[in-house]
Amino acid sequence: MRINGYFKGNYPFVLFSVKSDRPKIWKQINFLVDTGSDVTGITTKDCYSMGLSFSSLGRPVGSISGLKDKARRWEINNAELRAISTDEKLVKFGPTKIYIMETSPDCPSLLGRDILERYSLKLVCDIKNKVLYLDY
Amino acid sequence: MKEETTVLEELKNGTKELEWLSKNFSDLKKRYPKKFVAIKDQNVVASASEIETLINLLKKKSGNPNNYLIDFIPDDKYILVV
Repeated sequence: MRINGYFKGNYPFVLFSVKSDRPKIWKQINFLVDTGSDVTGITTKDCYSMGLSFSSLGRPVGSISGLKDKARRWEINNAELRAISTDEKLVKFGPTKIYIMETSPDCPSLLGRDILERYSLKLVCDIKNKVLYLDY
Repeated sequence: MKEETTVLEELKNGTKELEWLSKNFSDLKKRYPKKFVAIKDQNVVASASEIETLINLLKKKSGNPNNYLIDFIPDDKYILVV
């Protein structure tokens, strides 16, 4: 079975609907597929879009490290990721842990190796021919 | 079951918006470089240099920014390393 992705320029993205009870989240999020990221996380832009303020999340559980600065992160312990398969069926992954990450606003939310590994998602990414999908 | 139907419909609509964004990305880079844009029904309905400004615009417009695909459009010099 397959979930199609999309290229924004040469950035590979996959759409998931994210649901969580704490914090309350129900939102479609366009995740940049990032095999360099240890974890999956919702970043600042998407938090703002759904009206989620960092101050409402309580104490951060730690930080994330990037090229330069460290930033705060919070856990979402029981998130469910839902996607649409190529045959238009709903595909669910979870409950699973993902993170909220305080990044610069231009940074997209990230689909990291944790979800790819946990759900045995096979990434096929052909940038030149603009082919992107996840097999599961 | 009702929730599944709702999510499926939302994802179908979201997919259409993303396909449009993907197809028109080069043009959007020319028209909205380094801007945050809100997309609805395959149209850019608002844009701003700051995400907070865009969210406030959308709140005034429809009350719920969650109903839009919100994205950042880079310019040609933009390099993203995450």
